[in-house]
Amino acid sequence: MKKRLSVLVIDEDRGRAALVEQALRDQGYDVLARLDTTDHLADRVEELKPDMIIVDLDSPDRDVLENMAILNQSSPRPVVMFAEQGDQPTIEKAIRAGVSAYIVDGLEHHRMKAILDVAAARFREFQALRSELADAKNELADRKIVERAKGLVMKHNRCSEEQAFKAMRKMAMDQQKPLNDIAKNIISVLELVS
Amino acid sequence: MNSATTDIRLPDDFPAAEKSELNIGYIPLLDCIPVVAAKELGFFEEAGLSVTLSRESSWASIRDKVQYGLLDAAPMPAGIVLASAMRLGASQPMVTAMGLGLNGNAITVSKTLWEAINPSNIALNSEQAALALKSYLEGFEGTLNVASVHTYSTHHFLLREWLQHFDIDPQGKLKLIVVPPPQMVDAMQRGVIDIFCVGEPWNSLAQAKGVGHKLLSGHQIWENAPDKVLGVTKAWSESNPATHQRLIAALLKACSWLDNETNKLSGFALLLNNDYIPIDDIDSINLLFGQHSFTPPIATFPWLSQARWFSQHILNVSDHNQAPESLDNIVEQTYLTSLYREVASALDINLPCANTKDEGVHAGNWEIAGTHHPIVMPSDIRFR
Repeated sequence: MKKRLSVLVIDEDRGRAALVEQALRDQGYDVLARLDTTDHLADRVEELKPDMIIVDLDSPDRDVLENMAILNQSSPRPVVMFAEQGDQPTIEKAIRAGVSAYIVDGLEHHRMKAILDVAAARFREFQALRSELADAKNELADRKIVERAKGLVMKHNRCSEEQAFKAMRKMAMDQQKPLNDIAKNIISVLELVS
Repeated sequence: MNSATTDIRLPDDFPAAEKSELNIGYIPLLDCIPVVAAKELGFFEEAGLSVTLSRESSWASIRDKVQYGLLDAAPMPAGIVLASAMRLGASQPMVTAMGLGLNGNAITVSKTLWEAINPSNIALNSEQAALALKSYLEGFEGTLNVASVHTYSTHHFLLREWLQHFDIDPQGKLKLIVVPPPQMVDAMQRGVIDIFCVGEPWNSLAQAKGVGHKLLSGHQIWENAPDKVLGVTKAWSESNPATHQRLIAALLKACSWLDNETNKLSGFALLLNNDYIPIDDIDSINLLFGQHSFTPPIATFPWLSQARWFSQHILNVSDHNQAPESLDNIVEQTYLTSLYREVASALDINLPCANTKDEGVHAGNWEIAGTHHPIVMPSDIRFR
């Protein structure tokens, strides 16, 4: 039976690192450690001797790994070096998802591909979760703005909430602008006059 | 803006850009000023380019994003571009048609080490600094950590040249490591590193904070040494020839605007006040510390003789056996002198007649032949 591949995950975002680690464990890989930034990264890599390192494309620690790859033949090398050997689409997909990797010489390409695919999928999933959260926050903020504008319209026009909302929606339709923009305009105008 | 800069413009019939919206990456260092000035002062726009600048956190990430088209171009150490042509660390070759400045580096030692090797606190030349460090190392047990920011960077090569030239560390007590620039000052403060070589503003910041002291400027190892170049992939340059030329034109204009002490200082102020470098105490930075020069064509021509110097150093650090003949090929295919010449002629900039020059032997100003008139070259002596 083949030796289990050992992987080191380096990511300052602990949540994402945990997600990647779990996914790799589920696939039967041996995750040696999960690191955020460390002063002694080079020492840690030498000590752990991973077959593969998964690292955030934007991690400032990447030049530390580059230095190891240049000076030490047995250190993992940047995966982009191997792109011409038929793994171009896999690597490109990983890079677009924000994943970079370093692999030791002699690691079979299908094994590298499998790990890169898992990591890229988790990075994308994490990104999606994060933007969903941001959207939810924006939506909440938008709703607050609309509520405030509605309140101002009710007070100014001495009308009901429903009438105020209908008036705002009509403005949005007539002016072909998002309700939120209409609300902002109303707030800036009515707060001036009141 | 000086009148010379205003006069620099592309002819109206210059070919249109194949791609006009570009992403350019940069690392927060003072020497990224040409791209920032071109963006903030509208030189890119004037050249028909809409450029987004993106702050990146490592040279590896810049290289990968340029390789995969997430970035169109970026200022990067000349060594990274040349290494890619030797297939070191990259799968496709990059090229450059333009240098983006001289100088800007220094070697800083921790405050403790400075006091130990130089108790009288006097300014040292490269030989005195070497002797001081050598005699300290003789009585020292253990290792000193010496950090640079990238194995293929100019400052790493300058540091190695200085160590070798004066045979500073025969017993191997210095350990060369890499630390990302924004972590440098902090790592020195915590005692993790004893010596670092990095581009500005990180040296003057360490000195202002009392964390370290300048041991030598890069200038004292090689005066007016080349550093960053404009890197793109060969494939990108071939599919976007007019865009590439327009990019060079805009940056040449930015560099000639920066060829003036007043403009250079206001350029740095523009860069620091607009959050291009993530530091709080910008007032403590000594903007003249790096002695940057951006003067075209001296600081921007892709000199083949400089490419050879970088390539030789790349070979020295990378147990990669390349015959010298093919090295010349690599240099000529990577440093696109004719592309630079084409754009500079269109802009009516005086050009050197030759693609190479003598490096590292002139103690004062010297002259070379130019296409319009002779060019006065600054000193380029080694080991002051």
